[in-house]
Amino acid sequence: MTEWLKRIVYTALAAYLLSFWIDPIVGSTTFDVTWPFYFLLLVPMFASLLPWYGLIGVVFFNFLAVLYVYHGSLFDWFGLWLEDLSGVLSGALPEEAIFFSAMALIGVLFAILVGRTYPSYGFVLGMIVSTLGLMAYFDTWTLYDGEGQILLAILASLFLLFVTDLAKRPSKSLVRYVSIALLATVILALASVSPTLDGDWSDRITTSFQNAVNEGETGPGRVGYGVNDEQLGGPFEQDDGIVFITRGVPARYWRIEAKEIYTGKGWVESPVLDSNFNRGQLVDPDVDTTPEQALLRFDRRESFVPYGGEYPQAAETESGTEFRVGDIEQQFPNETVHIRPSGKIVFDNDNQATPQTIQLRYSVPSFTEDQLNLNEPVTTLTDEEQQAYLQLPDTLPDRVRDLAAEITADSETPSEQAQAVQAYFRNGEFEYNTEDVAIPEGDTDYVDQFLFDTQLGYCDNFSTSAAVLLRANGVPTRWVKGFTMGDARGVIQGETEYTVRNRHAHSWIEYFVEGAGWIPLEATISFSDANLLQIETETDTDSDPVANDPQAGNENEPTNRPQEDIAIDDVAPGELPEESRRLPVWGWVLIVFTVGLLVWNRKAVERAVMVEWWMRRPLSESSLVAMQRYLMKRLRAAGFKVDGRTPSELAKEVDAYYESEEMTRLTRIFEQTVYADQTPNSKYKEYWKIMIRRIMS
Amino acid sequence: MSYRPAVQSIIQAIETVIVGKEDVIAKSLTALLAGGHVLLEDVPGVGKTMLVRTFSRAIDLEFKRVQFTPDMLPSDLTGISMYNQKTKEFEYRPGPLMGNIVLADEINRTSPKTQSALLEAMAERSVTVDGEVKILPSPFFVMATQNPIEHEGTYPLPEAQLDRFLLKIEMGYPSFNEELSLLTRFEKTEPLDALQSVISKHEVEQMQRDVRNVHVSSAVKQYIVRLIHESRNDSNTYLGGSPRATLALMKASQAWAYIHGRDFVLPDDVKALASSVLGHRVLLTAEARYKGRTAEQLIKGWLDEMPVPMDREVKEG
Repeated sequence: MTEWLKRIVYTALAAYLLSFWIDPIVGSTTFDVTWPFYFLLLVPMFASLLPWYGLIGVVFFNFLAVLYVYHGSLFDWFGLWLEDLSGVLSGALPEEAIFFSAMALIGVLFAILVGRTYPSYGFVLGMIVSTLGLMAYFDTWTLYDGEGQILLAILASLFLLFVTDLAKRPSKSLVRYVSIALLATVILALASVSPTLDGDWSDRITTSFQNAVNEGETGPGRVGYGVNDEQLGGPFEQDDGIVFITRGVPARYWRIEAKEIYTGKGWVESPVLDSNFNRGQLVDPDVDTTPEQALLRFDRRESFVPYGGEYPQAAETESGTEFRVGDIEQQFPNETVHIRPSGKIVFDNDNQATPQTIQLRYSVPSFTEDQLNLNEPVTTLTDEEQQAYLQLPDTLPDRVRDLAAEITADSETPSEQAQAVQAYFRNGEFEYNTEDVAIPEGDTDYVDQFLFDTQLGYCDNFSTSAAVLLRANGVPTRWVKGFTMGDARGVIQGETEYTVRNRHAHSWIEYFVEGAGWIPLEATISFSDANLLQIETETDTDSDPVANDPQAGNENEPTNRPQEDIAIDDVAPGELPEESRRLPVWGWVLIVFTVGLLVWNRKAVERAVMVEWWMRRPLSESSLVAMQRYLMKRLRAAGFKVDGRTPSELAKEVDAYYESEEMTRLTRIFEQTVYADQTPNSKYKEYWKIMIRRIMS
Repeated sequence: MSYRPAVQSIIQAIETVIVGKEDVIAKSLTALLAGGHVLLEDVPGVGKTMLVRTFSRAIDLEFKRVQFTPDMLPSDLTGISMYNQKTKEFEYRPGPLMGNIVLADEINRTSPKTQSALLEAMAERSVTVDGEVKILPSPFFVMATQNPIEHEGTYPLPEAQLDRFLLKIEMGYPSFNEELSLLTRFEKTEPLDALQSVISKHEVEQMQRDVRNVHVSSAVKQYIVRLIHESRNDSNTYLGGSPRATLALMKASQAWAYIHGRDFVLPDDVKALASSVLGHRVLLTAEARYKGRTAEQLIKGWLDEMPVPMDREVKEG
């Protein structure tokens, strides 16, 4: 590699490392775009390759250009800046203007550093430690999630170290190239084995279970939330990609929307539905509810808002806008939101994209046993609504209706019927499976095929069947889509966090009880109601649902599994949560630290290895010469001038420096062996060991 | 540095007369034991002649002295056949070369013709007088002195003849303390008169044979050859060391190792003698001379850069 190429690669890698700073830092500010900072930080880095006046020119014009494109004007920026400055001087936190300029200054600082110190181990190590440290810090203490990034940062760090090494000590030897190739291979192998990273690297196609099938693909679809549910069935693959992270709430199912019309193959939305139960609340006003506040952090912008109980009353976006969904009134200047008949909350921007961080407030209903067991004629729903919620396709085979009647023969109230249906699936004949699931073909009914034919399926099969069975018995029911509670991430800043991944996409049902409202039901076997339905016990009238919840979660721990993760089925209760079995960010940092420590102490490591190696070998003339050569190499590395010195001259100098005698003694043996052709004296090894320890200490 | 006991006694004996100059003495002894000759170069009066006289006295060798002058003829060296009127025969009168140690003083003052006669004798160890070959006594050791060539009235020695001297040694002035003790030593007595020989001629011959048995390892041979090659390849030289120089360096190194009590040659020996062996054999280009370079500087430069061979494996280069 030529010097210039090395320098360019070095600078590019340093710039790449610096780019990892942008997401966490900007993510914790009110900026909702990151691109200006990529320009502000990275352009000067590359400009550092130019002479100083080039650097200054590029930095200056880059700043103005970025400012112009971002802000639209250069002149009023100055005013903003002064305003901000006076604010900062009077003790306020810096606003955008100062932050923007500060980032630009940081970019210049790093550019000067990288240009001035090239090539420097100090700079590179500082860069690596601060980048990884920053990522780890922000990952732990803020909403930033560095899991997918840390590996890239580490790889870049290794390559940067490698290039520094090349630039520092040019060598024709291939050893370094081979070792970096080996290292990269090992890391890539590790990375592809690690499930998290596999998931993060995959292209996150957010399809529903059946979407892939609809598109006529032969392969299985990928798990995740999708919009189209017209054709259910078929196998799917797991996807560990993160959808969002929740904070501040106990384990809780996340509702997105409900669908009403069962077609015999899948579900579609009903166009006319606008009762209170559909819009503002899910439950009757008599039901106790507890307000809850959740912070959701999305990995990327999604087109839905998941919520934990009833529809959110208010939500805060990262731009600080507040809006109310509960009564449809839209009181927000920037973002508009509307609620679809299905109960889905949608942001009315171009991509219907939800801001990446939202704060939700909603109420969590808590039913009493009495409320659940009410059995009164439905009056709250309009006839039209009732029709929709009791709709069944004409093609539904009669044996399904017969089965419904059979299952619920002993049940009187809607709740009892629901529980009978739930119990029916748990009778042992049904199996949870994501791989061998059939797609109903021709006239075959999706529910009929599952109930009587395959008895093998996942949440869609169970929930759809449960809905159909309940409807057949006259219980208004709807099919609900969303996510399960996700993987516990741990307690962060005193609040529990859960990671909700694509594979946590789920479906369940809600059935209507007059006087109570919509009551959720988990139909799928191996899943529990615990995080979906909250029931007030009569003795505990003041029960706080939030406080209750962890208990409920614990009780059901064995069955409280992530949805589609079959591999987890064998995990015994009390075993480590899944998250901790993966290599988290800190794990990677630890590995890098260890490797760094070894590299830092490579002299000691090499010394130990060499001493061990040579001490084990018998002393012959050739091994003695090799040992002497190694000693010369170490002496050269220690700063002694070796070339042009005879062994005894060198010995004198070395002994004088280390205040030792062994080098002279060792050299005498060496001379007798090499120049007088005598057999080597075994004392040589002893002296050699002493000298190597001295030189390499 | 430590010496072989016999050598130590010689050096001690010589040092009773010559103050300091241990290195010069050791090198002269090296040349003697290696069977070579020495060219002593320095300004007049630093003790060149005294050194040679002391040398011959300490070793019990027959000492002859020739003072070279511009009008000297070859026969003045080799001796000449004269007509004896009594016996009516030509009778050979040996010249000053018929000795064990010959001091050829101010060799560069005489004409090249006479110089070559001396040099022929040094190489062949015989002289031819009137068509008759006369073998010179053994050991035959010439110590020639010359004043630095830029002095007036000197004939520089031709390259081919310089090559015949094993070593060229520079005397140098004594240090302050050495010169002080020199005064004390010569204040009342003449130390040379009191000097007794410490070693016999036969012992010297035996030592010369021993020197030839000193082991030279392949690594050291490589070192020597590499150094000579360096002298030929350097752009500052127009004449590098000849194969005779290679041989000379090895022989001198053997003797140097011998007098230091070793029976094998170290790279150190080669290094110690390289300047003396090659200094008068390497000729610099006019450019290099103009830049003020000397042969000694160049040789030191080569030695400083060349890695010292550490094993038998032969590496070209």
